[in-house]
Amino acid sequence: MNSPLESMNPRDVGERLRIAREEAKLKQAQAAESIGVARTTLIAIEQGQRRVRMDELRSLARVYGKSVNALLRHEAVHADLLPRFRKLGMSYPDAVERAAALLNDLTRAEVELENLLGIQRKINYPPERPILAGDVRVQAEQDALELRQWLGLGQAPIQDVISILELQLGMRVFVRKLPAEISGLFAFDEATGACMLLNANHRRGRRNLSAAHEAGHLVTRQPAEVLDRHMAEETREERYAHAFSRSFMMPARTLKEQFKEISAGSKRLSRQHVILLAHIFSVSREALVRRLEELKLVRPGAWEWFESNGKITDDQEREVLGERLAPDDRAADAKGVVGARLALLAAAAWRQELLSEGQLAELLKIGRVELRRILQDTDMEGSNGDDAPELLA
Amino acid sequence: MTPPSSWPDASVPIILDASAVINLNGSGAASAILSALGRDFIVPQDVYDELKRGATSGRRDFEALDDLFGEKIIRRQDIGAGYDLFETLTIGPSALTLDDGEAATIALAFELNGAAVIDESKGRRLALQLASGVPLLASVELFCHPVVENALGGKMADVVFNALQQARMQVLPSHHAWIVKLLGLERALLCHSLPRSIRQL
Repeated sequence: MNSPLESMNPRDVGERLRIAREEAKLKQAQAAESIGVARTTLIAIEQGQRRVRMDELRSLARVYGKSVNALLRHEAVHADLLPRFRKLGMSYPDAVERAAALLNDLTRAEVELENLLGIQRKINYPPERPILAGDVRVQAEQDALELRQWLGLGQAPIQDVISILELQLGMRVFVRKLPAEISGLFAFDEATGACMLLNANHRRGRRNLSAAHEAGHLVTRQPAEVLDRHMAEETREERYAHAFSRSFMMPARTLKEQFKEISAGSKRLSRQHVILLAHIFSVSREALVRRLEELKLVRPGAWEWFESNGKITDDQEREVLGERLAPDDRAADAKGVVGARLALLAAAAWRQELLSEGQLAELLKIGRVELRRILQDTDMEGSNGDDAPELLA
Repeated sequence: MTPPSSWPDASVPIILDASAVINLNGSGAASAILSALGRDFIVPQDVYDELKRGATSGRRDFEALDDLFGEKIIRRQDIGAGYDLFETLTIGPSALTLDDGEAATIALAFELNGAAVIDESKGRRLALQLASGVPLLASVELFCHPVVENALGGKMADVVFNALQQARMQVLPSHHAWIVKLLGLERALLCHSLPRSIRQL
Protein backbone atom coordinates (compact mmCIF):
# COMPACT_ATOMS: atom_id res chain seq x y z
CA MET A 1 0.00 0.00 0.00
CA ASN A 2 1.26 3.45 -0.86
CA SER A 3 2.22 5.85 1.92
CA PRO A 4 0.26 9.13 2.18
CA LEU A 5 3.11 10.96 0.42
CA GLU A 6 3.31 8.36 -2.36
CA SER A 7 -0.45 8.63 -2.83
CA MET A 8 -0.20 12.30 -3.77
CA ASN A 9 0.29 13.42 -7.33
CA PRO A 10 4.02 14.31 -7.62
CA ARG A 11 3.27 17.27 -9.90
CA ASP A 12 0.92 18.69 -7.28
CA VAL A 13 3.52 18.13 -4.55
CA GLY A 14 6.21 19.75 -6.73
CA GLU A 15 4.04 22.77 -7.45
CA ARG A 16 3.30 23.29 -3.76
CA LEU A 17 7.02 23.06 -2.98
CA ARG A 18 7.86 25.56 -5.73
CA ILE A 19 5.37 28.10 -4.40
CA ALA A 20 6.69 27.65 -0.83
CA ARG A 21 10.28 28.11 -2.04
CA GLU A 22 9.43 31.28 -3.92
CA GLU A 23 7.58 32.66 -0.90
CA ALA A 24 10.70 31.99 1.15
CA LYS A 25 12.64 33.94 -1.51
CA LEU A 26 15.07 31.09 -2.11
CA LYS A 27 16.60 30.14 -5.42
CA GLN A 28 16.51 26.52 -6.53
CA ALA A 29 20.25 26.19 -5.98
CA GLN A 30 19.99 27.51 -2.41
CA ALA A 31 17.13 25.16 -1.54
CA ALA A 32 18.91 22.21 -3.14
CA GLU A 33 22.11 22.93 -1.25
CA SER A 34 20.28 23.25 2.06
CA ILE A 35 18.97 19.69 1.82
CA GLY A 36 22.07 18.23 0.18
CA VAL A 37 20.78 17.45 -3.31
CA ALA A 38 21.79 18.65 -6.75
CA ARG A 39 19.89 21.60 -8.26
CA THR A 40 18.71 19.32 -11.05
CA THR A 41 17.18 17.00 -8.44
CA LEU A 42 15.25 19.87 -6.89
CA ILE A 43 14.05 20.97 -10.32
CA ALA A 44 12.89 17.41 -11.03
CA ILE A 45 11.04 17.35 -7.69
CA GLU A 46 9.33 20.67 -8.39
CA GLN A 47 8.33 19.54 -11.87
CA GLY A 48 6.94 16.26 -10.52
CA GLN A 49 9.46 14.13 -12.40
CA ARG A 50 10.96 12.75 -9.20
CA ARG A 51 9.08 12.02 -6.00
CA VAL A 52 10.32 13.87 -2.94
CA ARG A 53 11.26 11.58 -0.06
CA MET A 54 9.79 12.17 3.39
CA ASP A 55 13.16 13.16 4.90
CA GLU A 56 13.75 15.62 2.03
CA LEU A 57 10.25 17.00 2.47
CA ARG A 58 10.78 17.66 6.17
CA SER A 59 14.11 19.37 5.46
CA LEU A 60 12.59 21.54 2.75
CA ALA A 61 9.66 22.46 4.99
CA ARG A 62 12.09 23.62 7.68
CA VAL A 63 14.14 25.64 5.21
CA TYR A 64 10.96 27.25 3.84
CA GLY A 65 9.64 28.00 7.35
CA LYS A 66 6.51 25.91 6.86
CA SER A 67 5.13 22.73 8.36
CA VAL A 68 4.79 19.56 6.31
CA ASN A 69 1.09 19.60 7.07
CA ALA A 70 0.66 23.19 5.82
CA LEU A 71 2.36 22.13 2.59
CA LEU A 72 0.61 18.84 1.98
CA ARG A 73 -2.73 18.63 3.72
CA HIS A 74 -5.06 18.04 0.84
CA GLU A 75 -7.31 21.08 1.24
CA ALA A 76 -4.46 23.57 1.75
CA VAL A 77 -4.80 26.38 -0.77
CA HIS A 78 -1.62 27.47 -2.48
CA ALA A 79 -2.49 30.90 -3.79
CA ASP A 80 0.41 32.17 -5.82
CA LEU A 81 -0.23 35.90 -5.85
CA LEU A 82 3.22 37.15 -4.85
CA PRO A 83 5.10 36.84 -8.17
CA ARG A 84 2.65 39.07 -10.01
CA PHE A 85 3.22 41.86 -7.47
CA ARG A 86 6.98 41.44 -7.74
CA LYS A 87 6.70 42.07 -11.47
CA LEU A 88 5.08 45.46 -10.93
CA GLY A 89 7.31 48.50 -10.92
CA MET A 90 6.90 49.64 -7.34
CA SER A 91 7.78 52.77 -5.40
CA TYR A 92 7.84 50.92 -2.06
CA PRO A 93 9.06 47.36 -2.76
CA ASP A 94 9.48 46.25 0.87
CA ALA A 95 6.13 47.57 2.04
CA VAL A 96 4.39 46.13 -1.02
CA GLU A 97 6.11 42.78 -0.55
CA ARG A 98 4.78 42.56 3.01
CA ALA A 99 1.31 43.71 2.01
CA ALA A 100 1.21 41.27 -0.93
CA ALA A 101 2.24 38.45 1.40
CA LEU A 102 -0.53 39.46 3.78
CA LEU A 103 -3.11 39.47 0.97
CA ASN A 104 -1.84 36.06 -0.13
CA ASP A 105 -2.08 34.64 3.40
CA LEU A 106 -5.53 36.07 4.13
CA THR A 107 -6.91 34.86 0.81
CA ARG A 108 -5.42 31.42 1.27
CA ALA A 109 -6.81 31.09 4.81
CA GLU A 110 -10.27 32.29 3.89
CA VAL A 111 -10.56 30.04 0.85
CA GLU A 112 -9.39 26.96 2.76
CA LEU A 113 -11.73 27.62 5.68
CA GLU A 114 -14.69 28.25 3.37
CA ASN A 115 -13.93 25.07 1.44
CA LEU A 116 -13.63 23.00 4.63
CA LEU A 117 -16.87 24.37 6.03
CA GLY A 118 -18.69 23.85 2.73
CA ILE A 119 -19.34 27.57 2.24
CA GLN A 120 -19.87 28.50 -1.41
CA ARG A 121 -19.11 32.13 -2.14
CA LYS A 122 -21.59 33.61 -4.57
CA ILE A 123 -19.50 35.04 -7.40
CA ASN A 124 -21.14 37.60 -9.63
CA TYR A 125 -18.37 39.48 -11.39
CA PRO A 126 -19.43 42.23 -13.80
CA PRO A 127 -18.92 41.82 -17.56
CA GLU A 128 -15.30 42.39 -18.59
CA ARG A 129 -14.61 45.75 -20.20
CA PRO A 130 -11.11 45.88 -21.70
CA ILE A 131 -9.59 49.32 -21.95
CA LEU A 132 -10.16 50.60 -25.47
CA ALA A 133 -8.45 53.22 -27.59
CA GLY A 134 -9.42 56.80 -26.96
CA ASP A 135 -9.92 58.81 -23.76
CA VAL A 136 -9.81 56.34 -20.85
CA ARG A 137 -11.56 58.83 -18.57
CA VAL A 138 -14.60 58.87 -20.78
CA GLN A 139 -14.64 55.08 -20.92
CA ALA A 140 -14.20 54.87 -17.13
CA GLU A 141 -17.15 57.18 -16.55
CA GLN A 142 -19.33 55.04 -18.84
CA ASP A 143 -18.14 51.76 -17.30
CA ALA A 144 -18.68 53.05 -13.75
CA LEU A 145 -22.24 54.07 -14.55
CA GLU A 146 -22.81 50.75 -16.31
CA LEU A 147 -21.62 48.87 -13.20
CA ARG A 148 -23.92 50.96 -11.04
CA GLN A 149 -26.87 50.03 -13.25
CA TRP A 150 -25.78 46.36 -13.30
CA LEU A 151 -25.71 46.35 -9.50
CA GLY A 152 -29.08 48.09 -9.31
CA LEU A 153 -27.58 51.10 -7.54
CA GLY A 154 -28.93 53.72 -9.93
CA GLN A 155 -27.39 57.12 -9.28
CA ALA A 156 -27.69 57.16 -5.48
CA PRO A 157 -24.70 57.82 -3.21
CA ILE A 158 -23.07 54.65 -1.83
CA GLN A 159 -22.63 54.52 1.92
CA ASP A 160 -20.84 51.17 2.17
CA VAL A 161 -19.06 50.34 -1.07
CA ILE A 162 -17.02 47.53 0.53
CA SER A 163 -20.11 45.55 1.49
CA ILE A 164 -21.43 45.93 -2.06
CA LEU A 165 -18.20 44.58 -3.52
CA GLU A 166 -18.24 41.68 -1.05
CA LEU A 167 -21.89 40.72 -1.10
CA GLN A 168 -23.06 41.64 -4.60
CA LEU A 169 -19.91 40.89 -6.59
CA GLY A 170 -18.40 38.21 -4.36
CA MET A 171 -14.97 39.89 -4.16
CA ARG A 172 -12.78 39.09 -1.18
CA VAL A 173 -12.08 42.35 0.60
CA PHE A 174 -9.69 42.51 3.55
CA VAL A 175 -9.13 45.67 5.57
CA ARG A 176 -5.93 45.51 7.61
CA LYS A 177 -3.35 47.96 8.86
CA LEU A 178 -0.79 48.72 6.15
CA PRO A 179 2.06 51.20 5.82
CA ALA A 180 0.74 54.71 5.16
CA GLU A 181 2.08 54.85 1.61
CA ILE A 182 -0.08 51.90 0.47
CA SER A 183 -3.79 52.41 -0.13
CA GLY A 184 -4.68 49.02 -1.52
CA LEU A 185 -3.73 45.92 -3.46
CA PHE A 186 -5.82 44.02 -5.97
CA ALA A 187 -5.33 40.60 -7.52
CA PHE A 188 -7.43 38.52 -9.86
CA ASP A 189 -6.62 34.84 -9.81
CA GLU A 190 -8.48 31.93 -11.40
CA ALA A 191 -8.17 29.79 -8.26
CA THR A 192 -9.12 32.32 -5.61
CA GLY A 193 -11.09 34.89 -7.57
CA ALA A 194 -10.84 38.64 -7.16
CA CYS A 195 -9.41 39.86 -3.87
CA MET A 196 -8.27 43.17 -2.46
CA LEU A 197 -6.52 44.43 0.63
CA LEU A 198 -7.26 47.95 1.86
CA ASN A 199 -5.47 50.08 4.42
CA ALA A 200 -7.32 50.27 7.74
CA ASN A 201 -5.10 53.19 8.76
CA HIS A 202 -6.59 55.33 6.03
CA ARG A 203 -9.78 57.21 6.72
CA ARG A 204 -13.04 55.71 5.56
CA GLY A 205 -13.63 58.11 2.68
CA ARG A 206 -10.19 57.51 1.20
CA ARG A 207 -10.54 53.76 1.75
CA ASN A 208 -13.88 53.74 -0.08
CA LEU A 209 -12.26 55.40 -3.09
CA SER A 210 -9.43 52.85 -2.97
CA ALA A 211 -12.04 50.06 -2.98
CA ALA A 212 -13.79 51.61 -5.99
CA HIS A 213 -10.40 52.04 -7.68
CA GLU A 214 -9.69 48.32 -7.28
CA ALA A 215 -13.20 47.50 -8.52
CA GLY A 216 -12.22 49.35 -11.68
CA HIS A 217 -9.35 46.91 -12.10
CA LEU A 218 -11.81 44.03 -11.73
CA VAL A 219 -13.90 45.48 -14.56
CA THR A 220 -10.85 45.42 -16.85
CA ARG A 221 -9.64 42.09 -15.35
CA GLN A 222 -6.18 43.38 -14.52
CA PRO A 223 -4.18 40.53 -12.89
CA ALA A 224 -2.67 42.62 -10.09
CA GLU A 225 -2.23 46.21 -8.97
CA VAL A 226 -0.84 48.22 -6.08
CA LEU A 227 -2.33 51.59 -5.28
CA ASP A 228 0.31 53.60 -3.51
CA ARG A 229 0.89 57.23 -2.63
CA HIS A 230 3.09 57.86 -5.63
CA MET A 231 0.93 56.01 -8.08
CA ALA A 232 0.62 58.85 -10.52
CA GLU A 233 -1.66 58.50 -13.46
CA GLU A 234 1.23 57.44 -15.66
CA THR A 235 -0.42 54.43 -17.25
CA ARG A 236 -3.72 54.15 -19.05
CA GLU A 237 -4.81 51.47 -16.56
CA GLU A 238 -4.21 53.81 -13.63
CA ARG A 239 -5.86 56.79 -15.30
CA TYR A 240 -8.82 54.51 -15.97
CA ALA A 241 -9.02 53.20 -12.38
CA HIS A 242 -8.74 56.68 -10.83
CA ALA A 243 -11.47 58.03 -13.09
CA PHE A 244 -13.56 54.91 -12.48
CA SER A 245 -13.43 55.35 -8.70
CA ARG A 246 -14.42 59.03 -8.90
CA SER A 247 -17.32 58.32 -11.24
CA PHE A 248 -18.48 55.25 -9.33
CA MET A 249 -18.53 56.98 -5.96
CA MET A 250 -19.60 60.42 -7.22
CA PRO A 251 -21.77 60.12 -10.35
CA ALA A 252 -21.77 63.46 -12.14
CA ARG A 253 -25.51 64.00 -12.25
CA THR A 254 -26.10 63.13 -8.59
CA LEU A 255 -23.18 65.21 -7.41
CA LYS A 256 -24.36 68.19 -9.43
CA GLU A 257 -27.85 67.89 -7.95
CA GLN A 258 -26.58 67.49 -4.39
CA PHE A 259 -24.16 70.37 -4.88
CA LYS A 260 -26.96 72.59 -6.10
CA GLU A 261 -29.12 71.69 -3.11
CA ILE A 262 -26.39 72.08 -0.49
CA SER A 263 -24.88 75.27 -1.88
CA ALA A 264 -28.18 77.02 -2.60
CA GLY A 265 -27.99 80.66 -1.66
CA SER A 266 -24.18 80.65 -1.42
CA LYS A 267 -21.69 82.36 -3.65
CA ARG A 268 -18.65 80.51 -2.40
CA LEU A 269 -17.69 76.95 -1.57
CA SER A 270 -17.49 76.68 2.19
CA ARG A 271 -15.90 74.12 4.48
CA GLN A 272 -19.39 73.12 5.56
CA HIS A 273 -20.35 72.36 1.94
CA VAL A 274 -17.29 70.19 1.48
CA ILE A 275 -17.80 68.30 4.73
CA LEU A 276 -21.48 67.62 4.06
CA LEU A 277 -20.97 66.53 0.45
CA ALA A 278 -18.00 64.32 1.32
CA HIS A 279 -20.15 62.72 4.01
CA ILE A 280 -23.09 62.16 1.65
CA PHE A 281 -20.86 60.43 -0.93
CA SER A 282 -18.65 58.67 1.68
CA VAL A 283 -15.44 59.94 0.09
CA SER A 284 -12.47 61.99 1.25
CA ARG A 285 -12.80 65.76 1.35
CA GLU A 286 -9.96 66.16 -1.13
CA ALA A 287 -11.51 63.74 -3.65
CA LEU A 288 -14.82 65.54 -3.34
CA VAL A 289 -13.35 68.96 -4.07
CA ARG A 290 -11.26 67.65 -6.95
CA ARG A 291 -14.37 66.05 -8.45
CA LEU A 292 -16.18 69.38 -8.16
CA GLU A 293 -13.24 70.93 -10.01
CA GLU A 294 -13.37 68.19 -12.66
CA LEU A 295 -17.09 68.77 -13.19
CA LYS A 296 -16.42 72.53 -13.40
CA LEU A 297 -18.67 73.23 -10.43
CA VAL A 298 -15.81 75.19 -8.81
CA ARG A 299 -12.68 76.75 -10.27
CA PRO A 300 -9.48 74.70 -10.48
CA GLY A 301 -7.29 75.18 -7.41
CA ALA A 302 -10.15 75.07 -4.91
CA TRP A 303 -8.57 72.27 -2.88
CA GLU A 304 -5.22 74.04 -2.83
CA TRP A 305 -6.99 77.16 -1.53
CA PHE A 306 -8.36 75.24 1.46
CA GLU A 307 -4.97 73.62 2.02
CA SER A 308 -3.19 76.97 2.15
CA ASN A 309 -5.92 78.69 4.17
CA GLY A 310 -6.10 76.69 7.36
CA LYS A 311 -7.18 73.37 5.79
CA ILE A 312 -10.42 71.58 6.62
CA THR A 313 -9.93 69.89 9.97
CA ASP A 314 -11.35 66.85 11.70
CA ASP A 315 -12.65 69.07 14.48
CA GLN A 316 -14.63 71.05 11.92
CA GLU A 317 -15.97 67.80 10.51
CA ARG A 318 -17.12 66.68 13.97
CA GLU A 319 -18.72 70.07 14.52
CA VAL A 320 -20.64 69.93 11.23
CA LEU A 321 -21.65 66.27 11.28
CA GLY A 322 -22.18 65.69 15.00
CA GLU A 323 -23.98 62.42 15.57
CA ARG A 324 -24.05 61.68 11.85
CA LEU A 325 -20.39 60.75 12.12
CA ALA A 326 -20.70 56.99 12.56
CA PRO A 327 -17.91 54.78 13.96
CA ASP A 328 -15.54 53.22 11.43
CA ASP A 329 -16.42 49.53 11.80
CA ARG A 330 -13.83 48.29 9.31
CA ALA A 331 -11.00 50.11 11.07
CA ALA A 332 -12.24 48.77 14.41
CA ASP A 333 -12.31 45.23 12.99
CA ALA A 334 -8.71 45.62 11.81
CA LYS A 335 -7.57 46.12 15.40
CA GLY A 336 -8.06 42.39 16.04
CA VAL A 337 -5.28 39.90 15.28
CA VAL A 338 -7.50 38.60 12.49
CA GLY A 339 -10.74 40.06 11.14
CA ALA A 340 -14.09 39.08 12.66
CA ARG A 341 -15.19 36.90 9.75
CA LEU A 342 -11.95 34.94 9.58
CA ALA A 343 -12.13 34.48 13.35
CA LEU A 344 -15.65 33.07 13.10
CA LEU A 345 -14.64 30.70 10.27
CA ALA A 346 -11.60 29.54 12.26
CA ALA A 347 -13.69 28.95 15.37
CA ALA A 348 -16.25 26.95 13.38
CA ALA A 349 -13.52 24.80 11.81
CA TRP A 350 -11.98 24.20 15.25
CA ARG A 351 -15.29 23.32 16.92
CA GLN A 352 -16.02 20.80 14.16
CA GLU A 353 -12.50 19.37 14.59
CA LEU A 354 -11.70 20.07 10.94
CA LEU A 355 -8.50 21.86 11.93
CA SER A 356 -6.51 21.61 15.15
CA GLU A 357 -5.11 24.47 17.19
CA GLY A 358 -1.67 23.93 15.62
CA GLN A 359 -3.08 23.85 12.08
CA LEU A 360 -5.08 27.03 12.64
CA ALA A 361 -2.17 28.88 14.22
CA GLU A 362 -0.05 28.04 11.17
CA LEU A 363 -2.83 28.89 8.71
CA LEU A 364 -3.59 32.27 10.29
CA LYS A 365 0.07 32.94 11.05
CA ILE A 366 -0.62 33.83 14.66
CA GLY A 367 0.62 32.48 17.99
CA ARG A 368 -1.19 29.79 19.94
CA VAL A 369 -2.25 32.09 22.77
CA GLU A 370 -3.61 34.69 20.34
CA LEU A 371 -5.51 31.91 18.62
CA ARG A 372 -6.91 30.67 21.94
CA ARG A 373 -8.17 34.17 22.69
CA ILE A 374 -9.96 34.21 19.35
CA LEU A 375 -11.44 30.72 19.73
CA GLN A 376 -12.50 31.20 23.33
CA ASP A 377 -13.84 34.72 22.89
CA THR A 378 -15.75 33.70 19.75
CA ASP A 379 -17.40 30.90 21.74
CA MET A 380 -19.37 33.34 23.90
CA GLU A 381 -22.20 30.90 24.44
CA GLY A 382 -19.84 28.48 26.20
CA SER A 383 -21.46 25.25 27.25
CA ASN A 384 -24.89 26.88 26.85
CA GLY A 385 -24.30 26.89 23.09
CA ASP A 386 -26.32 23.72 22.61
CA ASP A 387 -29.44 25.54 23.77
CA ALA A 388 -28.90 28.61 21.59
CA PRO A 389 -31.44 29.33 18.82
CA GLU A 390 -30.99 27.02 15.85
CA LEU A 391 -30.15 28.41 12.41
CA LEU A 392 -32.78 27.51 9.81
CA ALA A 393 -30.76 28.25 6.68
CA MET B 1 -11.06 16.44 45.79
CA THR B 2 -8.60 14.35 43.78
CA PRO B 3 -9.15 14.66 40.04
CA PRO B 4 -8.82 11.61 37.82
CA SER B 5 -5.25 11.00 36.72
CA SER B 6 -3.85 8.97 33.88
CA TRP B 7 -0.19 9.18 34.82
CA PRO B 8 1.71 6.13 33.53
CA ASP B 9 4.61 4.33 35.28
CA ALA B 10 7.58 6.44 36.31
CA SER B 11 9.76 4.83 33.63
CA VAL B 12 7.56 6.07 30.78
CA PRO B 13 8.94 9.17 29.00
CA ILE B 14 6.54 12.11 28.73
CA ILE B 15 6.36 13.89 25.36
CA LEU B 16 5.19 17.51 25.47
CA ASP B 17 3.24 19.21 22.70
CA ALA B 18 3.63 22.96 22.08
CA SER B 19 0.38 23.56 23.93
CA ALA B 20 1.78 22.02 27.13
CA VAL B 21 5.02 24.00 26.83
CA ILE B 22 3.08 27.26 26.39
CA ASN B 23 0.85 26.46 29.37
CA LEU B 24 3.85 25.65 31.57
CA ASN B 25 5.59 28.86 30.52
CA GLY B 26 2.40 30.82 31.14
CA SER B 27 2.24 29.47 34.67
CA GLY B 28 5.61 31.03 35.47
CA ALA B 29 6.64 27.85 37.29
CA ALA B 30 7.63 25.44 34.50
CA SER B 31 10.97 24.60 36.06
CA ALA B 32 9.52 23.95 39.54
CA ILE B 33 6.67 21.82 38.20
CA LEU B 34 8.74 19.65 35.91
CA SER B 35 11.52 19.26 38.51
CA ALA B 36 8.97 18.13 41.08
CA LEU B 37 7.50 15.60 38.67
CA GLY B 38 11.02 14.37 37.88
CA ARG B 39 10.13 12.47 34.72
CA ASP B 40 11.94 12.06 31.42
CA PHE B 41 10.34 15.02 29.63
CA ILE B 42 10.94 15.28 25.89
CA VAL B 43 10.00 17.99 23.40
CA PRO B 44 9.95 16.88 19.75
CA GLN B 45 12.16 18.86 17.39
CA ASP B 46 9.05 19.87 15.39
CA VAL B 47 7.49 21.41 18.52
CA TYR B 48 10.66 23.40 19.13
CA ASP B 49 10.65 24.54 15.48
CA GLU B 50 7.01 25.60 15.75
CA LEU B 51 7.69 27.64 18.88
CA LYS B 52 10.63 29.28 17.15
CA ARG B 53 8.47 30.20 14.16
CA GLY B 54 5.86 31.55 16.61
CA ALA B 55 8.48 33.90 18.04
CA THR B 56 7.66 36.28 15.18
CA SER B 57 4.33 36.98 16.89
CA GLY B 58 6.17 38.22 19.97
CA ARG B 59 6.15 35.14 22.21
CA ARG B 60 9.49 33.77 23.33
CA ASP B 61 8.42 30.27 24.41
CA PHE B 62 11.37 28.70 22.65
CA GLU B 63 13.77 30.75 24.77
CA ALA B 64 12.11 29.52 27.97
CA LEU B 65 12.44 26.03 26.51
CA ASP B 66 16.14 26.62 25.87
CA ASP B 67 16.53 27.44 29.57
CA LEU B 68 14.79 24.20 30.52
CA PHE B 69 17.11 22.30 28.16
CA GLY B 70 20.04 24.04 29.88
CA GLU B 71 18.75 22.95 33.27
CA LYS B 72 18.42 19.40 31.87
CA ILE B 73 14.78 19.32 32.95
CA ILE B 74 13.62 18.66 29.40
CA ARG B 75 15.42 17.21 26.42
CA ARG B 76 14.80 17.59 22.72
CA GLN B 77 14.53 14.68 20.29
CA ASP B 78 13.65 14.21 16.65
CA ILE B 79 11.39 11.41 15.51
CA GLY B 80 13.08 8.29 14.10
CA ALA B 81 11.13 5.07 13.89
CA GLY B 82 7.90 7.04 14.31
CA TYR B 83 8.33 8.51 10.83
CA ASP B 84 5.54 6.50 9.22
CA LEU B 85 3.04 7.58 11.86
CA PHE B 86 4.22 11.19 11.52
CA GLU B 87 3.63 10.96 7.76
CA THR B 88 0.15 9.51 8.27
CA LEU B 89 -0.69 12.27 10.74
CA THR B 90 0.56 15.16 8.59
CA ILE B 91 -0.24 14.25 4.97
CA GLY B 92 -3.85 13.72 3.97
CA PRO B 93 -7.24 15.39 4.37
CA SER B 94 -7.34 18.30 6.82
CA ALA B 95 -9.84 16.63 9.14
CA LEU B 96 -7.58 13.57 9.48
CA THR B 97 -4.25 15.35 9.94
CA LEU B 98 -2.50 17.54 12.48
CA ASP B 99 0.18 20.16 12.33
CA ASP B 100 3.75 18.90 12.58
CA GLY B 101 4.28 19.57 16.29
CA GLU B 102 1.10 17.79 17.32
CA ALA B 103 1.83 14.90 14.97
CA ALA B 104 5.45 14.60 16.14
CA THR B 105 4.30 14.50 19.77
CA ILE B 106 2.13 11.46 19.07
CA ALA B 107 4.68 9.82 16.76
CA LEU B 108 7.53 10.23 19.25
CA ALA B 109 5.39 8.92 22.12
CA PHE B 110 4.55 5.92 19.93
CA GLU B 111 8.21 5.38 19.03
CA LEU B 112 9.49 5.64 22.62
CA ASN B 113 6.57 3.85 24.29
CA GLY B 114 5.95 7.17 26.01
CA ALA B 115 2.91 9.23 26.95
CA ALA B 116 1.82 12.30 25.00
CA VAL B 117 0.67 15.52 26.66
CA ILE B 118 -1.97 16.89 24.30
CA ASP B 119 -4.93 19.15 25.09
CA GLU B 120 -6.35 19.49 21.61
CA SER B 121 -9.47 17.33 21.24
CA LYS B 122 -8.81 16.60 17.57
CA GLY B 123 -5.25 15.54 18.44
CA ARG B 124 -6.49 13.26 21.23
CA ARG B 125 -9.07 11.71 18.91
CA LEU B 126 -6.56 11.01 16.14
CA ALA B 127 -4.05 9.65 18.68
CA LEU B 128 -6.68 7.21 19.92
CA GLN B 129 -7.50 6.17 16.35
CA LEU B 130 -3.98 5.83 14.97
CA ALA B 131 -1.81 5.19 18.03
CA SER B 132 -4.22 3.60 20.47
CA GLY B 133 -1.46 2.28 22.73
CA VAL B 134 -0.11 5.75 23.51
CA PRO B 135 -1.28 7.00 26.92
CA LEU B 136 -2.59 10.57 26.79
CA LEU B 137 -2.17 13.26 29.40
CA ALA B 138 -3.50 16.81 29.44
CA SER B 139 -1.61 19.94 30.50
CA VAL B 140 -3.76 20.32 33.59
CA GLU B 141 -2.50 16.93 34.81
CA LEU B 142 1.01 18.37 34.99
CA PHE B 143 -0.32 20.78 37.62
CA CYS B 144 -2.71 18.66 39.66
CA HIS B 145 -0.21 16.07 40.82
CA PRO B 146 0.43 15.65 44.58
CA VAL B 147 4.21 16.16 44.18
CA VAL B 148 3.58 19.44 42.37
CA GLU B 149 1.18 20.58 45.08
CA ASN B 150 3.86 19.81 47.66
CA ALA B 151 6.54 21.62 45.72
CA LEU B 152 4.47 24.75 45.06
CA GLY B 153 2.75 24.88 48.43
CA GLY B 154 0.66 28.01 48.79
CA LYS B 155 1.55 29.23 45.30
CA MET B 156 -0.38 26.46 43.56
CA ALA B 157 -3.54 28.47 42.94
CA ASP B 158 -1.60 31.46 41.55
CA VAL B 159 0.43 29.23 39.24
CA VAL B 160 -2.67 27.56 37.79
CA PHE B 161 -4.42 30.92 37.52
CA ASN B 162 -1.44 32.25 35.55
CA ALA B 163 -1.58 29.31 33.13
CA LEU B 164 -5.29 29.93 32.61
CA GLN B 165 -4.95 33.68 32.24
CA GLN B 166 -1.61 34.09 30.48
CA ALA B 167 -1.67 31.00 28.27
CA ARG B 168 -5.44 30.42 28.14
CA MET B 169 -4.85 26.79 29.09
CA GLN B 170 -7.63 24.43 28.05
CA VAL B 171 -8.92 22.21 30.84
CA LEU B 172 -10.59 18.83 30.44
CA PRO B 173 -14.18 18.75 31.82
CA SER B 174 -13.04 16.04 34.27
CA HIS B 175 -10.81 18.65 35.94
CA HIS B 176 -13.22 21.61 36.12
CA ALA B 177 -14.30 20.85 39.69
CA TRP B 178 -10.66 20.65 40.82
CA ILE B 179 -9.92 24.02 39.23
CA VAL B 180 -12.93 25.72 40.84
CA LYS B 181 -12.06 24.27 44.26
CA LEU B 182 -8.45 25.43 43.87
CA LEU B 183 -9.15 28.95 42.59
CA GLY B 184 -12.55 29.67 44.03
CA LEU B 185 -15.51 30.47 41.77
CA GLU B 186 -14.84 34.19 41.58
CA ARG B 187 -11.31 33.75 40.21
CA ALA B 188 -12.30 30.81 38.01
CA LEU B 189 -14.91 32.98 36.31
CA LEU B 190 -12.16 35.39 35.26
CA CYS B 191 -10.61 32.63 33.14
CA HIS B 192 -12.03 32.67 29.62
CA SER B 193 -10.69 29.22 28.80
CA LEU B 194 -13.13 27.74 31.32
CA PRO B 195 -16.76 27.30 30.26
CA ARG B 196 -19.49 29.31 31.93
CA SER B 197 -21.01 26.06 33.15
CA ILE B 198 -18.44 26.02 36.00
CA ARG B 199 -20.86 28.31 37.85
CA GLN B 200 -22.95 25.24 38.49
CA LEU B 201 -20.12 23.18 40.03
